Amino acid sequence: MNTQVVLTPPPTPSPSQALSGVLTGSPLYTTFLELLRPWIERVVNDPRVAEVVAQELLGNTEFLYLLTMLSQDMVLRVSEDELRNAYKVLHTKFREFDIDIEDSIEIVVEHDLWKLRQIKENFSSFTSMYIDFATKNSGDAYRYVTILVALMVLLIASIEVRSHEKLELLASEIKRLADELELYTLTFMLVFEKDKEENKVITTVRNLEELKRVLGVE
Amino acid sequence: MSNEFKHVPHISKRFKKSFESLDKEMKHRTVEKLEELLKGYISGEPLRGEYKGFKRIRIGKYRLIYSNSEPCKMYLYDIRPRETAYI
Repeated sequence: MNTQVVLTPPPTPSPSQALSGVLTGSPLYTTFLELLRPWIERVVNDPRVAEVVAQELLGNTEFLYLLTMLSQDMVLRVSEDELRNAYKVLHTKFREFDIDIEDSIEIVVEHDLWKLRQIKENFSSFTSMYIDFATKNSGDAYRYVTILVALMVLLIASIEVRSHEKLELLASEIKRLADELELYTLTFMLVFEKDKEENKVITTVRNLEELKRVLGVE
Repeated sequence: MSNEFKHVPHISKRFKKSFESLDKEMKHRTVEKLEELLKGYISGEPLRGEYKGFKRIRIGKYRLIYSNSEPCKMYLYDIRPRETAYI
Protein backbone atom coordinates (compact mmCIF):
# COMPACT_ATOMS: atom_id res chain seq x y z
CA MET A 1 0.00 0.00 0.00
CA ASN A 2 1.21 3.48 -0.83
CA THR A 3 1.11 5.53 2.37
CA GLN A 4 1.28 8.71 0.27
CA VAL A 5 -2.21 7.96 -0.91
CA VAL A 6 -3.68 7.72 2.54
CA LEU A 7 -2.15 11.10 3.29
CA THR A 8 -3.45 12.67 0.07
CA PRO A 9 -5.30 15.85 1.05
CA PRO A 10 -8.80 15.01 2.30
CA PRO A 11 -10.64 16.82 -0.49
CA THR A 12 -9.53 14.10 -2.90
CA PRO A 13 -10.96 14.99 -6.30
CA SER A 14 -14.30 13.48 -7.06
CA PRO A 15 -14.97 11.57 -10.27
CA SER A 16 -17.47 14.17 -11.42
CA GLN A 17 -15.01 16.98 -10.85
CA ALA A 18 -12.53 15.44 -13.27
CA LEU A 19 -15.34 14.67 -15.69
CA SER A 20 -16.58 18.25 -15.52
CA GLY A 21 -13.06 19.62 -16.01
CA VAL A 22 -12.40 17.41 -19.00
CA LEU A 23 -15.71 18.47 -20.57
CA THR A 24 -14.94 22.17 -20.12
CA GLY A 25 -11.37 21.72 -21.36
CA SER A 26 -9.64 24.12 -18.96
CA PRO A 27 -5.81 24.17 -19.12
CA LEU A 28 -5.42 22.30 -15.82
CA TYR A 29 -7.65 19.48 -17.02
CA THR A 30 -6.04 19.42 -20.47
CA THR A 31 -2.72 18.71 -18.71
CA PHE A 32 -4.47 16.16 -16.50
CA LEU A 33 -6.04 14.46 -19.51
CA GLU A 34 -2.70 14.34 -21.36
CA LEU A 35 -1.11 12.62 -18.38
CA LEU A 36 -4.02 10.20 -18.08
CA ARG A 37 -4.20 9.42 -21.81
CA PRO A 38 -2.26 6.09 -21.81
CA TRP A 39 -4.24 4.83 -18.81
CA ILE A 40 -7.57 5.92 -20.29
CA GLU A 41 -6.76 4.02 -23.46
CA ARG A 42 -6.04 0.89 -21.43
CA VAL A 43 -9.41 1.23 -19.70
CA VAL A 44 -11.18 1.89 -23.02
CA ASN A 45 -9.64 -1.34 -24.34
CA ASP A 46 -10.54 -3.33 -21.24
CA PRO A 47 -12.66 -1.63 -18.54
CA ARG A 48 -11.95 -4.49 -16.14
CA VAL A 49 -8.42 -3.12 -15.57
CA ALA A 50 -9.74 0.15 -14.08
CA GLU A 51 -8.79 -0.77 -10.52
CA VAL A 52 -5.28 -1.85 -11.52
CA VAL A 53 -4.90 1.38 -13.49
CA ALA A 54 -6.08 3.38 -10.47
CA GLN A 55 -3.47 1.69 -8.27
CA GLU A 56 -0.74 2.44 -10.81
CA LEU A 57 -1.85 6.08 -10.99
CA LEU A 58 -1.79 6.36 -7.21
CA GLY A 59 1.85 5.34 -7.31
CA ASN A 60 2.66 8.02 -9.92
CA THR A 61 4.14 11.18 -8.38
CA GLU A 62 3.08 13.44 -11.25
CA PHE A 63 -0.49 12.18 -10.96
CA LEU A 64 -0.53 12.78 -7.19
CA TYR A 65 0.81 16.30 -7.77
CA LEU A 66 -2.02 16.98 -10.21
CA LEU A 67 -4.52 15.53 -7.74
CA THR A 68 -3.41 18.13 -5.22
CA MET A 69 -3.96 20.86 -7.82
CA LEU A 70 -7.40 19.47 -8.60
CA SER A 71 -8.23 19.47 -4.90
CA GLN A 72 -7.49 23.18 -4.77
CA ASP A 73 -9.53 23.74 -7.92
CA MET A 74 -12.44 21.95 -6.25
CA VAL A 75 -12.32 24.19 -3.20
CA LEU A 76 -11.91 27.42 -5.15
CA ARG A 77 -13.94 27.00 -8.29
CA VAL A 78 -16.11 23.95 -8.80
CA SER A 79 -19.87 24.48 -8.42
CA GLU A 80 -22.66 21.99 -7.83
CA ASP A 81 -24.18 22.91 -11.19
CA GLU A 82 -20.97 21.94 -12.97
CA LEU A 83 -21.01 18.53 -11.34
CA ARG A 84 -24.68 18.04 -12.21
CA ASN A 85 -24.09 19.06 -15.82
CA ALA A 86 -21.19 16.62 -16.14
CA TYR A 87 -23.48 13.80 -15.07
CA LYS A 88 -26.27 14.87 -17.38
CA VAL A 89 -23.85 14.56 -20.30
CA LEU A 90 -22.82 11.10 -19.15
CA HIS A 91 -26.34 9.95 -18.40
CA THR A 92 -27.47 11.07 -21.86
CA LYS A 93 -24.58 9.21 -23.46
CA PHE A 94 -25.48 5.90 -21.83
CA ARG A 95 -29.18 6.39 -22.51
CA GLU A 96 -28.48 6.90 -26.21
CA PHE A 97 -26.99 3.41 -26.17
CA ASP A 98 -29.96 2.07 -24.19
CA ILE A 99 -27.81 1.26 -21.15
CA ASP A 100 -29.34 1.88 -17.71
CA ILE A 101 -26.78 3.36 -15.37
CA GLU A 102 -29.05 5.79 -13.52
CA ASP A 103 -28.65 4.22 -10.07
CA SER A 104 -24.86 4.27 -10.27
CA ILE A 105 -24.79 7.83 -11.50
CA GLU A 106 -27.04 8.89 -8.64
CA ILE A 107 -24.74 7.18 -6.15
CA VAL A 108 -21.66 8.96 -7.50
CA VAL A 109 -23.48 12.30 -7.68
CA GLU A 110 -24.67 11.87 -4.10
CA HIS A 111 -21.11 11.20 -2.96
CA ASP A 112 -19.54 14.03 -4.94
CA LEU A 113 -22.06 16.70 -4.04
CA TRP A 114 -22.15 15.69 -0.40
CA LYS A 115 -18.36 15.91 -0.27
CA LEU A 116 -18.27 19.22 -2.16
CA ARG A 117 -20.70 20.70 0.36
CA GLN A 118 -18.62 19.44 3.28
CA ILE A 119 -15.46 20.91 1.76
CA LYS A 120 -17.06 24.28 1.11
CA GLU A 121 -19.21 24.62 4.22
CA ASN A 122 -17.66 22.37 6.82
CA PHE A 123 -14.01 22.14 5.82
CA SER A 124 -12.40 21.82 9.23
CA SER A 125 -14.72 19.08 10.47
CA PHE A 126 -14.57 17.22 7.17
CA THR A 127 -10.76 17.32 7.12
CA SER A 128 -10.54 16.11 10.71
CA MET A 129 -13.03 13.33 10.03
CA TYR A 130 -11.16 12.13 6.95
CA ILE A 131 -7.72 12.25 8.56
CA ASP A 132 -9.07 10.30 11.52
CA PHE A 133 -10.68 7.77 9.15
CA ALA A 134 -7.48 7.38 7.10
CA THR A 135 -5.27 7.09 10.17
CA LYS A 136 -7.39 4.44 11.86
CA ASN A 137 -8.40 2.57 8.69
CA SER A 138 -5.54 2.90 6.22
CA GLY A 139 -6.69 -0.12 4.18
CA ASP A 140 -10.19 1.26 3.75
CA ALA A 141 -8.82 4.74 2.99
CA TYR A 142 -6.60 3.34 0.25
CA ARG A 143 -9.54 1.39 -1.16
CA TYR A 144 -11.70 4.54 -1.10
CA VAL A 145 -9.16 6.55 -3.07
CA THR A 146 -8.67 3.64 -5.49
CA ILE A 147 -12.42 3.53 -6.13
CA LEU A 148 -12.55 7.28 -6.74
CA VAL A 149 -9.66 7.22 -9.21
CA ALA A 150 -10.98 4.10 -10.98
CA LEU A 151 -14.40 5.74 -11.35
CA MET A 152 -12.76 8.92 -12.59
CA VAL A 153 -10.94 7.04 -15.35
CA LEU A 154 -14.03 4.97 -16.21
CA LEU A 155 -16.24 8.05 -16.51
CA ILE A 156 -13.74 9.85 -18.73
CA ALA A 157 -13.35 6.70 -20.85
CA SER A 158 -17.15 6.54 -21.18
CA ILE A 159 -17.23 9.90 -22.93
CA GLU A 160 -14.81 8.67 -25.57
CA VAL A 161 -16.18 5.21 -26.29
CA ARG A 162 -18.49 4.80 -29.29
CA SER A 163 -19.18 1.07 -29.23
CA HIS A 164 -22.20 -0.40 -27.41
CA GLU A 165 -20.24 -3.45 -26.33
CA LYS A 166 -17.49 -1.40 -24.70
CA LEU A 167 -19.95 0.99 -23.09
CA GLU A 168 -21.72 -1.99 -21.53
CA LEU A 169 -18.44 -3.22 -20.08
CA LEU A 170 -17.69 0.27 -18.76
CA ALA A 171 -21.19 0.47 -17.24
CA SER A 172 -20.69 -2.88 -15.53
CA GLU A 173 -17.48 -1.70 -13.85
CA ILE A 174 -19.02 1.66 -12.93
CA LYS A 175 -21.97 -0.13 -11.31
CA ARG A 176 -19.72 -2.43 -9.29
CA LEU A 177 -17.53 0.40 -7.99
CA ALA A 178 -20.42 2.82 -7.39
CA ASP A 179 -22.09 0.17 -5.26
CA GLU A 180 -19.00 0.07 -3.04
CA LEU A 181 -18.62 3.86 -3.07
CA GLU A 182 -22.07 4.17 -1.50
CA LEU A 183 -20.80 2.27 1.55
CA TYR A 184 -18.14 4.95 2.04
CA THR A 185 -20.62 7.80 1.53
CA LEU A 186 -22.92 6.34 4.18
CA THR A 187 -19.98 5.73 6.52
CA PHE A 188 -18.87 9.36 6.30
CA MET A 189 -22.44 10.57 6.79
CA LEU A 190 -22.79 8.42 9.91
CA VAL A 191 -19.52 9.72 11.35
CA PHE A 192 -20.99 13.22 11.22
CA GLU A 193 -24.16 12.02 12.94
CA LYS A 194 -22.33 10.39 15.83
CA ASP A 195 -23.68 11.23 19.31
CA LYS A 196 -26.83 12.86 17.94
CA GLU A 197 -29.98 12.73 20.04
CA GLU A 198 -31.81 11.06 17.13
CA ASN A 199 -29.59 7.98 17.39
CA LYS A 200 -31.06 7.02 20.76
CA VAL A 201 -33.21 3.91 20.99
CA ILE A 202 -36.82 4.82 21.72
CA THR A 203 -38.41 1.37 21.77
CA THR A 204 -37.92 -2.35 21.20
CA VAL A 205 -40.39 -4.88 19.78
CA ARG A 206 -40.64 -8.69 19.82
CA ASN A 207 -42.69 -9.59 16.78
CA LEU A 208 -44.16 -8.36 13.52
CA GLU A 209 -47.44 -7.20 15.04
CA GLU A 210 -45.62 -5.05 17.58
CA LEU A 211 -43.33 -3.68 14.90
CA LYS A 212 -46.26 -2.67 12.70
CA ARG A 213 -48.03 -1.09 15.65
CA VAL A 214 -44.99 0.94 16.68
CA LEU A 215 -44.42 2.08 13.10
CA GLY A 216 -48.08 2.91 12.62
CA VAL A 217 -48.60 0.45 9.76
CA GLU A 218 -51.83 -1.49 9.34
CA MET B 1 -43.50 -17.72 8.45
CA SER B 2 -43.42 -17.38 12.25
CA ASN B 3 -43.97 -13.88 13.56
CA GLU B 4 -41.22 -14.12 16.21
CA PHE B 5 -38.01 -12.31 15.40
CA LYS B 6 -34.56 -13.87 15.62
CA HIS B 7 -33.16 -10.40 16.37
CA VAL B 8 -34.92 -7.98 18.69
CA PRO B 9 -35.18 -4.65 16.90
CA HIS B 10 -34.09 -1.59 18.84
CA ILE B 11 -35.66 1.33 17.02
CA SER B 12 -33.91 4.69 17.01
CA LYS B 13 -35.68 8.01 17.01
CA ARG B 14 -34.06 8.72 13.63
CA PHE B 15 -35.40 5.50 12.11
CA LYS B 16 -38.94 6.12 13.32
CA LYS B 17 -38.92 9.68 12.03
CA SER B 18 -37.56 8.62 8.63
CA PHE B 19 -40.06 5.78 8.40
CA GLU B 20 -42.95 8.10 9.11
CA SER B 21 -41.90 10.30 6.19
CA LEU B 22 -42.18 7.42 3.68
CA ASP B 23 -45.16 7.00 1.38
CA LYS B 24 -47.54 4.08 1.89
CA GLU B 25 -45.94 1.79 -0.69
CA MET B 26 -42.44 2.40 0.62
CA LYS B 27 -43.61 1.76 4.19
CA HIS B 28 -45.03 -1.56 3.05
CA ARG B 29 -41.83 -2.54 1.21
CA THR B 30 -39.72 -1.53 4.22
CA VAL B 31 -41.77 -3.62 6.65
CA GLU B 32 -41.45 -6.62 4.30
CA LYS B 33 -37.70 -6.17 4.19
CA LEU B 34 -37.51 -5.68 7.95
CA GLU B 35 -39.40 -8.92 8.49
CA GLU B 36 -36.88 -10.83 6.36
CA LEU B 37 -33.99 -9.12 8.10
CA LEU B 38 -35.24 -9.59 11.66
CA LYS B 39 -35.94 -13.26 11.03
CA GLY B 40 -32.38 -13.69 9.81
CA TYR B 41 -33.22 -14.49 6.16
CA ILE B 42 -31.21 -11.66 4.65
CA SER B 43 -28.20 -9.54 5.52
CA GLY B 44 -26.73 -6.27 4.30
CA GLU B 45 -23.36 -5.00 3.15
CA PRO B 46 -21.10 -3.64 5.91
CA LEU B 47 -20.11 0.01 5.93
CA ARG B 48 -16.45 0.91 6.26
CA GLY B 49 -13.89 1.87 8.88
CA GLU B 50 -15.17 2.02 12.42
CA TYR B 51 -18.71 1.64 11.09
CA LYS B 52 -18.16 -1.91 9.87
CA GLY B 53 -20.73 -3.02 12.41
CA PHE B 54 -23.38 -1.09 10.46
CA LYS B 55 -24.88 -2.56 7.32
CA ARG B 56 -26.78 -1.33 4.27
CA ILE B 57 -29.73 -2.97 2.57
CA ARG B 58 -31.15 -1.36 -0.56
CA ILE B 59 -34.89 -0.92 -0.90
CA GLY B 60 -35.33 0.79 -4.24
CA LYS B 61 -33.70 4.19 -3.93
CA TYR B 62 -33.69 3.95 -0.13
CA ARG B 63 -31.06 2.45 2.13
CA LEU B 64 -31.96 0.66 5.35
CA ILE B 65 -29.07 1.13 7.76
CA TYR B 66 -28.81 -1.11 10.79
CA SER B 67 -26.33 -2.72 13.15
CA ASN B 68 -26.37 -6.20 14.64
CA SER B 69 -23.01 -6.21 16.34
CA GLU B 70 -24.60 -7.47 19.58
CA PRO B 71 -26.11 -11.00 19.69
CA CYS B 72 -29.88 -11.21 19.12
CA LYS B 73 -30.14 -7.43 19.00
CA MET B 74 -30.66 -5.31 15.90
CA TYR B 75 -30.31 -1.56 16.07
CA LEU B 76 -32.42 0.06 13.35
CA TYR B 77 -30.55 3.25 12.60
CA ASP B 78 -32.24 4.82 9.58
CA ILE B 79 -34.12 4.35 6.33
CA ARG B 80 -32.55 6.93 4.09
CA PRO B 81 -33.33 8.09 0.56
CA ARG B 82 -30.61 8.46 -1.97
CA GLU B 83 -30.20 12.17 -2.52
CA THR B 84 -31.69 12.14 -5.99
CA ALA B 85 -32.88 15.69 -5.43
CA TYR B 86 -29.27 16.61 -6.08
CA ILE B 87 -29.61 15.86 -9.79
